[in-house]
Amino acid sequence: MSEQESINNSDTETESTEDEVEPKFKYQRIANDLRKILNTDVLTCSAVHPKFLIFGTFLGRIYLFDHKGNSVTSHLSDGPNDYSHTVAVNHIDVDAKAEYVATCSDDGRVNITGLFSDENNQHLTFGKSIKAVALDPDSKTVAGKRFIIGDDKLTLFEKNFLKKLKTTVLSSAEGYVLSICWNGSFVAWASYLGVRVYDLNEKCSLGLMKWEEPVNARLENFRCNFRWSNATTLLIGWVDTIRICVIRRRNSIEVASRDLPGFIVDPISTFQTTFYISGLAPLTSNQLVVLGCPKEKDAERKSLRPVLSVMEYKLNSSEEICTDSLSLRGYQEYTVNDYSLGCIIEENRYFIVAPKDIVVASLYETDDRVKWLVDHRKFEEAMEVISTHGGSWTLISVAKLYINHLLSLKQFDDAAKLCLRVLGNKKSLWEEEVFKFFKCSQLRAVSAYLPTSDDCKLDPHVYEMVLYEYLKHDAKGFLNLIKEWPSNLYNCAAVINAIHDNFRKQNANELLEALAILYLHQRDYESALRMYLKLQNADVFEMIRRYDLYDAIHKMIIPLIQLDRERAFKILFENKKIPPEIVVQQLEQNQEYLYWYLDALDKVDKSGKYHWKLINLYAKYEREKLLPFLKGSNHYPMQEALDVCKRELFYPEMVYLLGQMGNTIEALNIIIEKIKDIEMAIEFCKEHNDSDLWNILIDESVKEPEIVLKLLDGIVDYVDPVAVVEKIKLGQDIPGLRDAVVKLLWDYRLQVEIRKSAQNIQHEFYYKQHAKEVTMQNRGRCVPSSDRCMRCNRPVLTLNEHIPPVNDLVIFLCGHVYHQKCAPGSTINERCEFCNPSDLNKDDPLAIMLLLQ
Amino acid sequence: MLALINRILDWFKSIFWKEEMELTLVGLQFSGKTTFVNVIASGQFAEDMIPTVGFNMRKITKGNVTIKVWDIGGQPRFRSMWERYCRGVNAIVYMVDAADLDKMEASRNELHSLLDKPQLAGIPVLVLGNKRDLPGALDETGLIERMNLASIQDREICCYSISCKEKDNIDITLQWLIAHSKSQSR
Repeated sequence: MSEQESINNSDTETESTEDEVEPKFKYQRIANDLRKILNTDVLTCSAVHPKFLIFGTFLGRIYLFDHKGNSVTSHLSDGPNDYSHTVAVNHIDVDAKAEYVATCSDDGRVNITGLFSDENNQHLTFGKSIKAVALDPDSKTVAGKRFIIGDDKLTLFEKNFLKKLKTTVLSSAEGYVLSICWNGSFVAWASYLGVRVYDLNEKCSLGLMKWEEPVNARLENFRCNFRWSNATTLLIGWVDTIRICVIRRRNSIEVASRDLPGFIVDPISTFQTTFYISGLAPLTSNQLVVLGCPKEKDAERKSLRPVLSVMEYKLNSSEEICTDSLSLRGYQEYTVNDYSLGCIIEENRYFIVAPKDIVVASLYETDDRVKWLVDHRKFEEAMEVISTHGGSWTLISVAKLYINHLLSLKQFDDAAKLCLRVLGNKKSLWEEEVFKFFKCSQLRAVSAYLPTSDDCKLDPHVYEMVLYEYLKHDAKGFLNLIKEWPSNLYNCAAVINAIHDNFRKQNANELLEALAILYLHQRDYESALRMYLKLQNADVFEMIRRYDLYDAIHKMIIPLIQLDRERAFKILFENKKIPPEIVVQQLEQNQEYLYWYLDALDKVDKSGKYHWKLINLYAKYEREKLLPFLKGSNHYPMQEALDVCKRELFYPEMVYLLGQMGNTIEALNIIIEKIKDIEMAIEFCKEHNDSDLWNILIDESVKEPEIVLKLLDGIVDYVDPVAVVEKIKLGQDIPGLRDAVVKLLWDYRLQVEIRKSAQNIQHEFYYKQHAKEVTMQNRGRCVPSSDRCMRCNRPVLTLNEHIPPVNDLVIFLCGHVYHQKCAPGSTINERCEFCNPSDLNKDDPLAIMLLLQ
Repeated sequence: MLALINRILDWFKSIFWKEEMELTLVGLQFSGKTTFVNVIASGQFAEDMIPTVGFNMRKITKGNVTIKVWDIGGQPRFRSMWERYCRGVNAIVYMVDAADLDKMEASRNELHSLLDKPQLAGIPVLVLGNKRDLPGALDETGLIERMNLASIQDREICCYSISCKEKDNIDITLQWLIAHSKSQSR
């Protein structure tokens, strides 16, 4: 149960809630002129209308107020006559059109007053106190002309067109009329016995609804509270019982057969309340607003505060939805009949009328709910309400408060998520909220949610602020952001400066990588590369390739190789973008790298420009490759190479070089003396096949008996073994010599036999060929008639029969034909002149001609 | 006897030709609302009026039309209730002091915020520029512009320049009102 406190002397209600149940109503006290009247008078009854309020007082006065409590002059109070009552006003009724007001009082008078004209005013005086009066609610008729007054009977007054008042007694049997409530053709009224509904059309009562006498009290001490919630539903609250009745039409057969009224009053729900009822009104179709006064008294036998309760009714039961205790002015002095409840149903506006106080209860509207929820820090619910019901609060305004709240609770991440949820793409909102995170140094919490797209890019300072905070507290996060955020969000130069200002050794890796990325963004590739190299980050190679940084790495070749030799070389050789001169120059400081580089370079670049350097390097770092290299390359100075090998005592290499230089004897000496490898010496001699070499070798064999054997074995094809054998001194003991000599002799014989066989084959072949040649030459030969003498150039044969043959012909083996007389030479027909022009007689003019041909 | 016949005739007339209308008269204070009601009710112009507190209720019969007028106080403290009194009436008459140019903007704002209320949608509005007898008073064109009446598109709106003192254009104002009585407008 929530408790509504009001401070008596303030205009607005201040409320303190003990627990967190959302209230149903907001309360506002009516003040202004009303306050002044209450200082001297006491309210006894009221009538409310959407346009104004009318109150009757204990002193018998009638006041008309606007809804704010401003006193309005009207015919009620300042007409030409004083129509007020002399004692307490008991009841006021106003018609729907707000044209007539009916009042009654214990002074026995009933006044019908027109607010707009006094044409139909009535001032009736009865000899007894009048508790109830009701105007015709039908908006089509003039209310002032038709009304019902209750004294000890219920009487209908009607004014006919002659302005004469006609009275009809509707009921006189029930005793004193306590209250009347008129709706359409039905009039509900209460007496000490209970409640009746009268049907004006059928002119009959629809029956008596008896009311139970309360325990320890009398029914007539309680006012009966009625209200029609619609055309056929009557709400009755009396003592501590609420009954809801529906007027419905009776079954027509039943009506006809048993002579019963056409309508029946059907109580659909009856239930008890824990308090005495001062008034009731509908809220929704099955909820009521009930003003009540607690039955209990406080310790000093004073009254407790009245309550306003929302009750949901079902069949014969009910549930209190919520109940507010109201601190109305002077509540301790008043009891159930002193309070009353007015209601404007269509506005859900409820007027709690106490003798010295009037409070308006109106439903918590969307805005009120949101405000309450926000005040009670139920932001989620508040936002829910806004999104479903709208209202004048915006989602953003609540979200901002919510963010503040979350920040104050240090729930930074929740606050950040909320930002993402509600701020959308509104740049200014984001900037505003981000600043709050900045103030509590929690930009890190919101960083992941900041908009970074082009359609909502915040001020660069915002991103820089975030980065700066990360830089100070979380280098890893800083790096991640640098990687994640597009570089156009912030000013790279500013961030780079910030890193330099805040560089810390322990985060060197992250900061360097961040710097590298930032330099890349700035297109300062050289600096970026330097950072990557400092980091020993292998991504550098990829980066060089991606950004085509071949020119930028000239001075970083050594660090690149240090990082990853293989990939560095790949880069160096790629696309020939980096001239080897530059690399070599850079690598001079590191010979090993130079060696690796040149070694690798040699595989792709055949120009041999650096072979001389490479020889030195092979000598230093990888001797195995030296000899093959020396053999493979033509691009080095031999003498220097030899010097290097000499210095390093690389004999095989020296042997090779000396051999190449023609200094074979020295080479052989090295083999024999330094390498001591006779096989190699023999191979060497075989290679060069120089008798001098063999002699040296043979001389050498004299010293070493085992060499003799090897020599004997290997040299057969090259030198005469006799030379070796002759060198063998007498008495010298050479193990295995006999076998070697035998083998030698066998080899020798074999050689001789092979040669003989070869000679035979050759001879045979020759004779065969010769015989073939002779056969060919001995074949017959044709002399065509077109042939001309090789000397006189006339045809050799005359085909004309009349001309006798000129001469005989001479034909040589070569096929050339001459006339006999033209045939060359005095020594007859020795050789063909054409095939042997040297035989031509230089003085012979024909011969000269022939030569010229 | 003659009186009785007259009364019967009146009664018949009232049954067959009587028309009723309800209108609410709002506008800033001292624009002449209550004066206007007095002029159309009795034809009498009274210069000095005390400011209306809350509202005045008047019923005026013109020919066979009965006009129920809610004449609402124009002081700021009453303005929040204007909407309440305008609900469900046949027409809203908005009075402007056409000679008080300083208050024109406040008057315009109050009118537009009143007409923005959803419950008053569609109710015809008659804007009266009173005090046209005073020097410098705006005419209809000036009022329409200064009050931004052209922007009101969702309802019937009309603007007259009148003078209660000189009884200028009171007749056409009444004609407009009568034309919007219940039987005419329905």
